[in-house]
Amino acid sequence: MERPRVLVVEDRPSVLTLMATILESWYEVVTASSGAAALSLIDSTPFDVVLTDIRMPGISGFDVLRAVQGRKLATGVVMMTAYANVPDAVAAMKLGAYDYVAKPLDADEITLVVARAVEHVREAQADPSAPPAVDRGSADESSELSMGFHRAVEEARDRASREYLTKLLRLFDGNVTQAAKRARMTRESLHRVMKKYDVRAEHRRDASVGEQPQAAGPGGGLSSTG
Amino acid sequence: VVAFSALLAAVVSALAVQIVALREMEVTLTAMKDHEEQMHLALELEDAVRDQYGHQARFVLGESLDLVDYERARSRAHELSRKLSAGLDEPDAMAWMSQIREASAELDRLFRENVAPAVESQNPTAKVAHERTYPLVSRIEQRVDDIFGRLQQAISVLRRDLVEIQGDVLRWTAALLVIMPAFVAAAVLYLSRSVARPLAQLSEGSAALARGDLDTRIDIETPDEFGALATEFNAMTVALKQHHVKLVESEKLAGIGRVAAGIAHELNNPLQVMLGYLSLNRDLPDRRLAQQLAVVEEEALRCKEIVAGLFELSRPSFMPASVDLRELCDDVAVGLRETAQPAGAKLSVDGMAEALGDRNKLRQVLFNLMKNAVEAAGPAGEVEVAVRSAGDQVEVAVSNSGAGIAPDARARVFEPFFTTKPSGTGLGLAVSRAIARAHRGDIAFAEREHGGAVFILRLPRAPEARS
Repeated sequence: MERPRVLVVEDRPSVLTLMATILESWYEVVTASSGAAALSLIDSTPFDVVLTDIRMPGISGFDVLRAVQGRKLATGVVMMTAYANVPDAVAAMKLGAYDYVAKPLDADEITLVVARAVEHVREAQADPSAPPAVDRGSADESSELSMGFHRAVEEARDRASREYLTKLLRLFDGNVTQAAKRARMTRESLHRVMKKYDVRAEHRRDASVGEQPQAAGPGGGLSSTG
Repeated sequence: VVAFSALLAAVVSALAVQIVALREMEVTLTAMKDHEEQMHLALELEDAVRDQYGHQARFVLGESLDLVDYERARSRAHELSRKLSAGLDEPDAMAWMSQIREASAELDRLFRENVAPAVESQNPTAKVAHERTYPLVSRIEQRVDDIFGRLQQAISVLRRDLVEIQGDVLRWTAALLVIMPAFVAAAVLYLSRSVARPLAQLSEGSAALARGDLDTRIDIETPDEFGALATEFNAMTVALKQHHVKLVESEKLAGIGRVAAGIAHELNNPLQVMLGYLSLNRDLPDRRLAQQLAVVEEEALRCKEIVAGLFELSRPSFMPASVDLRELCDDVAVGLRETAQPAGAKLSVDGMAEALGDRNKLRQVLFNLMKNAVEAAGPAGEVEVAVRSAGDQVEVAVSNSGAGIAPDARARVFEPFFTTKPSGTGLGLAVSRAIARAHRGDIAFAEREHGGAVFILRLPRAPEARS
């Protein structure tokens, strides 16, 4: 299976190296230490996922997001943000970012969100009318006051993670090892995120009827077998 | 005002007394002048009578046969006696004057009826008759002298009066010269007591205030403007002190906030990289190393919590929504019961209310308050959480049956980094209060009735749900 391409944009070398280390076992990782470097890389090479810090000197994560959207690239943009700046990330979601990860960065969480983003991009390529992975429908302007956009987004992304994991496990009939391979994470890592999102691996014979674990070929989405 | 009036009245009355005395002196002097004039008239009268007698004598001796000169002398004497009698008012003098007039009339009558006819008929009895007139002249002279003497006496009396009045005036003036300075001194003393002293006190107080002594009080309790001013001044210094204390506190918190933000920012980056690598190495085949790394991760996560607390302290950001406080309290209580030791404190939640706030932040606040309460209450203790609405606000009162807070620690419980627990960071209550205040609420501490402590979280009430 072709390794998806991931661009990591981050101005601090230590964080950049960490991100590359987390992802390099599974992905083709390219790093950019500034927004400007990221923009020229986006123009020259296609990426499945761009993982970008929001606050950088000069060209910011928002600029990178806008550049991707302006070029109508089949790329999922995931924002990285410091603990205290979650509202920035929520604002980026409003602008069309696929998702965000809050620092401190957790390897399990990062691999999961990148896996989801890759899956989303592939699905969107196969079926352009597919809804966004993180449904922001309940987080429109009017509900912002009564419920809190932030909370709505958090709930929506938790739901998206849960749905992704449920679908993934159903696809492999509860076989965690195979599911982990598909999600490009370790078995242990998948176990931890399953526990975190309260998703259990159930061996359900009726659900497995007609399903072929290897059916999802290169470029195919999870939903292509459903 | 009273002092000034008294002073003015004294001066005016003293001057009035002086004027009256001067007027008296003038009257006396006029009287003396009148008397002197009369004395002069008396002397003239005496002279005129002698002149009249002289003419009579010359007629008798045959030196002159013309009676015109005699007539002139007689009418002069008559005129003078009239004038003199007009100016007299004393009974004695008036009686003497009428005697003079009678004698004068007799003198003239004798001359015309006896002497003149005898001289014209060259009768030798003329001389005899003439000699009979001499005692009359003598008597007139005598009486004029009497009047003169009386007038002299009156003048000397008047002079004595005058001297007396002068003495009085002198004494009055001298007395004024003594009394006036005394009055002025008294007035100055009074003014200094009623104006200068309070003014000095006010000025001293202001100077002390300017030096930064906010405990300055001015002790003037008179019911006048100065007393009112002093009361205002004291109220002002009290208000100033309160503002100052508040300002110092908020400055202190702001300073701590800045330091906290700086530390948090600097620690955050290395921490996130450390945690990232730790999270990447959870699945090491070397179990011993994996266990050690798990401990490192646990401790690093604790550091992360402290950093998060420092961020909260400096800049509690939140996104308000309607939060069911009862549900949140129950939720936190369930979590606490799960993690508590087998025989943890009895924890109960009662009441309900909805606050306007950030669910996650409020959970953090309630977790801090309830965890503290459970720890303070001890295994055999009780923790009661009461949720209720109070006007525009909602309250969560978390009370525990523990030992309470030592008096010297009470003022510091909300201070960042202040803790009585051996393993506490001292950020829990400080962060909780910062979050509550960012919500336009607050956390207050009170003593529980039967021992123990109560922490009351107040928050704005959620607006009525839209239908």
